[in-house]
Amino acid sequence: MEHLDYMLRALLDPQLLLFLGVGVFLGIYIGAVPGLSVTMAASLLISFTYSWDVLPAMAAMIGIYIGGVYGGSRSAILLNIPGAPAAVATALDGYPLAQKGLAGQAIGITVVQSVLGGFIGTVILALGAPQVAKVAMAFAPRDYFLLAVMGLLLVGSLGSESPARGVMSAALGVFVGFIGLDSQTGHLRFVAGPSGSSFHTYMMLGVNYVVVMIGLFGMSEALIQLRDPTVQPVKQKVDKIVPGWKNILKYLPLSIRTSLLGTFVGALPGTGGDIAALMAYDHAKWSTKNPETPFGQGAIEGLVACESANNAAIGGACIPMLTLGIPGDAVTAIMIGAMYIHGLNPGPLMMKESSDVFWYIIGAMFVGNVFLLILGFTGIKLFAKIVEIPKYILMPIIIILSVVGAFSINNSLMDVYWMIAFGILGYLMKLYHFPVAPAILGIILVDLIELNFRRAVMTVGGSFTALLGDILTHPMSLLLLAVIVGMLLSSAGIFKKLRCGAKKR
Amino acid sequence: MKHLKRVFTACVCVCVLAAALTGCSSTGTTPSAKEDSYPSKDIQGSIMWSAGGVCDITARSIGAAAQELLGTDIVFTNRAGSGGAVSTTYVNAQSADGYELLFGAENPQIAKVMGTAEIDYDDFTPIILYCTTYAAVSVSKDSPYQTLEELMDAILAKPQEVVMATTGAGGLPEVCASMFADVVGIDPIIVPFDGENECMTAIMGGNADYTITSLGSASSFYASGDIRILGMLAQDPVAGYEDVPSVQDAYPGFSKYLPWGPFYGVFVKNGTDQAVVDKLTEVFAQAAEDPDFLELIASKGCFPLGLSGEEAAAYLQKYRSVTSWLLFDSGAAQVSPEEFGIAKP
Repeated sequence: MEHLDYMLRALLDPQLLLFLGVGVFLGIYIGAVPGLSVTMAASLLISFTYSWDVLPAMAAMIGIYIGGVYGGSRSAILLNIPGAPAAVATALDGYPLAQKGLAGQAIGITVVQSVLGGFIGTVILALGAPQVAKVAMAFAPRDYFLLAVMGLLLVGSLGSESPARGVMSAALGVFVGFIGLDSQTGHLRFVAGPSGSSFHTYMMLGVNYVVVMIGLFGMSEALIQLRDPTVQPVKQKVDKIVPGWKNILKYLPLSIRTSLLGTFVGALPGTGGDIAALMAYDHAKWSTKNPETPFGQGAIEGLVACESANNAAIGGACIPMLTLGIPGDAVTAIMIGAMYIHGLNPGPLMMKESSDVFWYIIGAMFVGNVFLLILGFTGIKLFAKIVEIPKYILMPIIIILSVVGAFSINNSLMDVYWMIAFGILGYLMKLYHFPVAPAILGIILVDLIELNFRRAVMTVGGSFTALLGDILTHPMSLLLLAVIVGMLLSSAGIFKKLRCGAKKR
Repeated sequence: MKHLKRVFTACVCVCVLAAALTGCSSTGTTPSAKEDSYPSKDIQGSIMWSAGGVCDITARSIGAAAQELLGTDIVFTNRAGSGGAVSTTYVNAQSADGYELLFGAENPQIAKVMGTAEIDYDDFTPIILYCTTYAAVSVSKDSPYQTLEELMDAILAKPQEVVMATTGAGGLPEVCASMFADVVGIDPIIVPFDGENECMTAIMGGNADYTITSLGSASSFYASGDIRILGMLAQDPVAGYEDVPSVQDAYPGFSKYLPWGPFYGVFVKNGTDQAVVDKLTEVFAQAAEDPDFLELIASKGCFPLGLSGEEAAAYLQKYRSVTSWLLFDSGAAQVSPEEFGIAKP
């Protein structure tokens, strides 16, 4: 009963309600600007909130978080430039919809699905946080490794007519991810430049994957579209934005599945909404037998899956944050810092010592999603108009935003240079029909795959056969392995032929 | 016509880009600081470790108190990686004008012998060393090992099976593992995780058998009963952890290393104007008395240190000498401290 009291504060305290609402609003619009990300917004906000009380500070942060994760989908749909890594998969089907003049509808669907995912994630956080945390904690390095391998297999579904080009692109991402100092042994890998120079220092730290994303998606998209700035933009229909009940119910089973997937992937420390959304997209592609529109050309299922998953991952990421004091992603890492500054102790004692804040956060996440449902429908007409702006005005603006976005990650000019380099690389890739999304997938997954493989092997004494034995004797690992083998077999040529043969008969 | 338009667009594009770049770079160059007006703009703070860890949290807390006193903002950026070398290299590459602070931990003091970097705190002037803590040996509450001796005996008996979670080369857990290797004679299997918090989850989730971390990372799980602390790398019982035995009780050989523990401090690059150093030292000494800050470090299992000037320099020297030689003698470091002129303790 007490808990309900604390949760209701999110709704009843007008000041907190205001902070939350403003947070969601700002989050949506910051997230929607290509180059600006929710992580950046949260890290800017944190220094403001030092002097505030605990709850208003939390309200604003949660608001920004919820709004920002959703907001990333807007620029993905309208401009083919994901506002955040978690929206990479959204662009795959969202942008084709916008090109058909259906941007308004696509945005409407993402709002509803984001809210749905957000609610499911929050419910799991409220009901089962300690239990989920336990499962997440038992997730061994070998399991992370297998999960990452599974992630890498998604290359096949990231929209390309030529799988070989997708693999090339993913390999590029993996290579870029290798650059820098090996955190386990301290060895330098692919680090160029004279020792002590700022270029060398930058490479030591590794290339920030958000920089790569802004370059490959933002900058390169602007460059490619500038090749022919006279193309008449598509007129957008924005009369039927809110999706009907029928539409929501139709995709409900898929949204629930991908939301659960998103929550769990979000709850694993070290994986967040970006991986969750990509895996959900893949799941949708496999489980949807006959989409009305093929995936990659504007399938609603693709939008539904990744948008519900990345917002569900918010609730998931809060589970290790609140119960273990370990961040589930970059934003929760910043929130943990803020909580300590405010005298809270996120971790195993949080539910006991500061149950008021714990339950307030859950309440705020529910209310924040209600705000998202309302505010998410604002400005759609305005945003859809953006697409209708002549390209020779819009694209230079996007280039400026990409520069600003890259600079603001670490206030480092070096990030801008790298972003421009990746922009040009992305331009060339697009010119020669190499998909850029697999490169992002590679760079996101490389640490997960490599470090955990090494951990897994070291744990069993450095023997590969022992690792195999270890995988076969643990149920979770065995399950993941089975899924991987299944994915491989089902996409192999022989199996496909068999299936087609069976159908013909 | 179409062609003209394209050329025009390209021109606009280039101009805009150039403008954006020069606009950005003008913030990169800094005018030399006038000591009487210091600080006249925002101060940048580089944190040696990632968000949410002890170094990050304590740095932001003392920074929050200091910026009130300075009347200017401290803009924090986490520059984690390479056992601290990423942040030291970064700050060392900036100008010594007092607008680039380094919020760091003990790690750079072993960077030279470990070969992770060519610079350590010799290249920096300490403003304050604000707190210290101890290292603690932890196991999960479900662990079969009830005492430190039981754990060590198990490692000696089956060295291929008892796994230790660490934070990678040069991190505190591996330094402590070297001490145990020297004193007890174990040759532990180590598995590096991303940070001390991840080491804690690894032992609680059953993915490693034990870990040695700073007390701050273990404190809340100890309080909640999820882990047991088998031994503390301290000479005397630590306040709040009176029932945890010192490692010296079972292994008297540790007396030559103790007292030893991680510390956290604020630094500027060598060559910073003395007036600026004095001003910062005065401000941070006052910030270290801030009640909120003291409460925060206590909750993270840390104890106030409050050293500056000569005292801080002597403390840094002693730590480097003890730890560098320890790592070299145990074989963890390949390069002799003598090569860098580090005297034997």
